[in-house]
Amino acid sequence: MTKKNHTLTILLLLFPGVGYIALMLAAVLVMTVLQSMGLFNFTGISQFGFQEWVEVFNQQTWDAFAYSTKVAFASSLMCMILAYPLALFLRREFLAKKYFTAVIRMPLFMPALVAAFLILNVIAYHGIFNEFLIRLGIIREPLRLTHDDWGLGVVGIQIWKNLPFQTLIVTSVLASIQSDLENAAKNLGAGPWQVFRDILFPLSIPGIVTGVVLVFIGIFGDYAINTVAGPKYPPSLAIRMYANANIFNDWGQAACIAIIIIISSMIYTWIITRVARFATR
Amino acid sequence: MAATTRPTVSKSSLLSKKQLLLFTRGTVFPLVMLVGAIVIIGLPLLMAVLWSLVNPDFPWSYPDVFPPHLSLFQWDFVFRFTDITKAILTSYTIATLATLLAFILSLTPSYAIANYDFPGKETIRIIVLLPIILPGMVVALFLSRVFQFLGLSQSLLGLVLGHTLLGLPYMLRLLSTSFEAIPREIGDAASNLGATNFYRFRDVYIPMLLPGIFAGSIFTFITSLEEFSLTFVIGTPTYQTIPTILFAYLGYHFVRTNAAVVSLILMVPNVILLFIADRFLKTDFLTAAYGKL
Repeated sequence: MTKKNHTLTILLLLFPGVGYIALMLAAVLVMTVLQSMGLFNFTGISQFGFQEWVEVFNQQTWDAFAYSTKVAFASSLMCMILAYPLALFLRREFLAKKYFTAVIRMPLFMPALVAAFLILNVIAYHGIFNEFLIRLGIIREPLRLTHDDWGLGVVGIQIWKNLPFQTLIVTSVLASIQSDLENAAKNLGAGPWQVFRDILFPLSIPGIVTGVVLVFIGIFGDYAINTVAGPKYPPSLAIRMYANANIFNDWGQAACIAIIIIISSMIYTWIITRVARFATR
Repeated sequence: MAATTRPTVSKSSLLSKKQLLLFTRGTVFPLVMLVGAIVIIGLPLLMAVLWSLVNPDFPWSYPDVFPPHLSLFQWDFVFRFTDITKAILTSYTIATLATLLAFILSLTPSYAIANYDFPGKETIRIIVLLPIILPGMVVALFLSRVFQFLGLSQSLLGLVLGHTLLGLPYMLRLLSTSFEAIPREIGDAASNLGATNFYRFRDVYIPMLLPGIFAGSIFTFITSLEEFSLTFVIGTPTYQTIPTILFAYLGYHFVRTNAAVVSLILMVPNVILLFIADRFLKTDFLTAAYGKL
């Protein structure tokens, strides 16, 4: 087989699945960009221009952007902080480990809407969480945790939903670090803390960052959970985008917000990677 | 007598102190963690089950910790007066078709990814992941515009095509992982013995791929069952699936008891499917699907 033939074979083999994804997503992205430029306007006049972009940068979009950023940072950071010790704990053998792993994996298999519903029940105004805190005497009045202005309910749901995923990623990253290094360090007299600080943590960061980024992006662009448990105002960026498109029939504005979501996700990914690299230096 | 008892006492107390430490680390701490996990994960589930069994003649309200009376009224109600039966049928039809299509589309690409080295392989891997990475609502909204253009909006075909797009990453990843696990020599040996490509595929690869196919199918199936945004934008109001019905009960007209029933209908098959997969597949396919990203 000649070299050229070989390349052709590989391309043909790849085409069905990879081509399907590439073509569909390319169509989606092209459609988004064109609509944000005033083209393909289904309801009004289609005219090329930057009018949509001038309009999109207003206080409401900014509020939605700030809200989505806040919730995504808070949830993914908490997930990370909780997942790391959990993954370290899972490295050891211990009593009933099988059951523990099975239980903490459960939320991974729950659809986002179901997770939202389950947690809403617990944190409702007269829900079991508030009742518990009141009986313990920690609070007097029940806390307002659903549809609260800060988005605490959403953060709670996102942590519950994403923690198993984050833990899974950290566990698999930690497992891929060769135990020789750890053993060598221990032989040379390093304590557990030193092993963690100088070996496990720096070596695990690159893999973990991928997990953090995926969780972050997922929460940043979330629609369903924010609709069900989020504040009345501000909406998340995805809610604002959806409302513009399907309620106000303003697809140009929706397309601009879609591009804002994608570009900010990329910028945040870059920032998170940067911070992680800085932390391991 | 005193001389013989004293050392044993001190020895046993020394041992017990060490044992106590070991006992705490090896038994008490893991048990505390297990109980904590069961409360944090299990309590919300238990609440959902209880809410789905509330008898409307004996409402469950503050300050009752448990519903005063349990009945199957809510289940009966949801099945009798809502579109749930139709939605279940639609959900499972779409999921089956999307899984089949994703499997057919994934076979040759995952073979190529596993067996050849070529420039741009990393780019291919990223493209494969994009449907999971891109925000669901963005893809849903603008795919609906593209579909509108092609006349696929509000159609079953459009829904199947969209769900296939979202399931493909899992299918491709799990299949290419299991292709990678097959030693090159086996395929070569079959060729040397005169097997054509078709027979090599059917008699050598497919049997060894079965666990991967099984895992990939389960993941694609579940992704499709859970998918909300895409169905919501492209399918409703013509097609309702279980998640869009749940969304209606959670948002527009919030009915806790109905939402509890629909949540369980959506969730229980997922958990069972993944439990079966976990039992029958020796390799840790969860890590293959989600890990090593």
